[in-house]
Amino acid sequence: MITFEHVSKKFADGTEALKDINLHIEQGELLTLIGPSGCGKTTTMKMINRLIEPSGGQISIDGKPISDQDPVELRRSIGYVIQQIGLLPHMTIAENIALIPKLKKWDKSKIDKRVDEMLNLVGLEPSVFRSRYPLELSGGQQQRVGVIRALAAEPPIILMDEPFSALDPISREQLQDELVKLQKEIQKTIVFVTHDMDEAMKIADRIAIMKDGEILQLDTPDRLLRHPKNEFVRNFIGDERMAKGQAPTAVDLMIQKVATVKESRGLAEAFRLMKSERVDSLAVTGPEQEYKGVVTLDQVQKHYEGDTKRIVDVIEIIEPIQRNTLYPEIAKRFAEKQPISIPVVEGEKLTGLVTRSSMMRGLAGLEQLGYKEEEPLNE
Amino acid sequence: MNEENFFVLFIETMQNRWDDIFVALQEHLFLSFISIVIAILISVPLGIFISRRKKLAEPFIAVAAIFQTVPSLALFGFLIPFLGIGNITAIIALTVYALLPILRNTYTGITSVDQSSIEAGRGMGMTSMQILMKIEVPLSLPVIMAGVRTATVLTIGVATLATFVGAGGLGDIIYRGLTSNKDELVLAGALPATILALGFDLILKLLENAATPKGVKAKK
Repeated sequence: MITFEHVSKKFADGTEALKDINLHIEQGELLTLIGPSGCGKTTTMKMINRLIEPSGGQISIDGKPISDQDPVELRRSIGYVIQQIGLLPHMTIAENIALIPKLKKWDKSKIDKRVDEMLNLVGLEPSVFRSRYPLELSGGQQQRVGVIRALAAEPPIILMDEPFSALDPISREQLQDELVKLQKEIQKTIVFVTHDMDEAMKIADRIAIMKDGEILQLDTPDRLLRHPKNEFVRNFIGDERMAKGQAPTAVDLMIQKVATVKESRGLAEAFRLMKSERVDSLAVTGPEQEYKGVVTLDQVQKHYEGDTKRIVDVIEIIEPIQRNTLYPEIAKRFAEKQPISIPVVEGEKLTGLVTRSSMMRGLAGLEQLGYKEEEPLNE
Repeated sequence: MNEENFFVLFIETMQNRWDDIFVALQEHLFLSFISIVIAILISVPLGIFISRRKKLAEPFIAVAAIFQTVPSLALFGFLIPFLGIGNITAIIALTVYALLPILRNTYTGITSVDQSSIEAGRGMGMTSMQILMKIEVPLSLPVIMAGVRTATVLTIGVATLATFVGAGGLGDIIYRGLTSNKDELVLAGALPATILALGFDLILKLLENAATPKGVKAKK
């Protein structure tokens, strides 16, 4: 469908963005281009609709070189979704979706029908959303419109440039799921640029891993995981995998909002704080947020009579874990020593707290709650 | 001077000289209107042009700004040796004066349109002309209109000097009042000019609001 033959790109300032790219994208496949920033993934994508022209080599669609085609006509046959969404704020949602069909001079009744069809496709009720303006919609809704605007004129190819990376995590997940579902129905050829390995793994038929203007490996997600071609690919998949998913670490399992108290404070204050935050232990920190220990409700109540006692006198030391401590290690600590919670540090600094329930949430892949939802905490 | 007397005198002047004042008002409107229209016809396309070639923007705006800093009376005087006296001289001077606010606002308006809208438009296959007419102009129209408004109020004020190049206008009445030492006559020229400026300011303010796209106003 789309073929790159020895495509290279040198920018005016001499930087070599792409070196000899050869790539064949099949009809109906969702290919993601992924790599660290500056690897040339966006440049590669933007060459397909001639927003960037190659310095050498040739790109063809269905065997026809695109350099022979009128860029404007070419772009109208290729859907385009960008990270910043780029809906036109002065036009209604319906007008935004109808933009390309209108430029292509479809007749009005066909456009109207198409707009409704598209809105239904992403679960936006036409009677509600047709006449709304983009700024009245949430980010997730706006990008849904961005996607269907690209689909409206029935282009066989769609380019997506990190379309979901500016959205909040929940909307991002939803839109990824919807895209996968949508792709089953529409079977378009989609070129999807991302820097998020989880996203690529989730949606792609094939993934092209790029670095320094070259494609290092182009394979299915499964084969990439099983047979990474070299150290960089392994690390790139590995590092990203570590963050979420396969082997959870302390970071995934902890709550970040921790009720803390400075070690120099009195017991009455600790008691008051526990009451107001509805917790039965507080993390104790020094002046620079460095972790010192934990103070529990039991200890505070036991020593409460001694007026002069301060937190530093009743502190309990629970050995902290690092942010990258793996799940089995954490589970073992809970099993052996039965602590209420285990503090997580980065260097000296307290960065979070793993509790039994936060561990369960983390393992279930849920978002971590604060220890108390309503307020941003402490200090 | 007795205040009540002055007021009566002013009313009488207005009544007696109404024909003169009305003619002057028409001349004044004519001069201002023509100048503003010409200034818009020059500045808006020029502003769009320099927004495409940003290197040229600074020099062009600087030249327009220099025109603006020339004292208005001097500008009129300066043009007489070249163009003689009359309407043309007045209109050219007023136009030159009105260029800057419109030029600067057009440039600012066009360049501050959200780049993501433009990129999306281009990527979807809009031509440069379609991007200009469907995206850039509608979104920058409120800013351009604000420039036109500034220029209009300015021009109506400066047009009172057109009398010195024999182009008439309300300046005639004011000048006559000054030379014959009749304050009520000065006021009879100045007051309509002020009302004219305020009136146009209001009308253009309403136009400016109307030019703001609904979806942009809807911002929550």
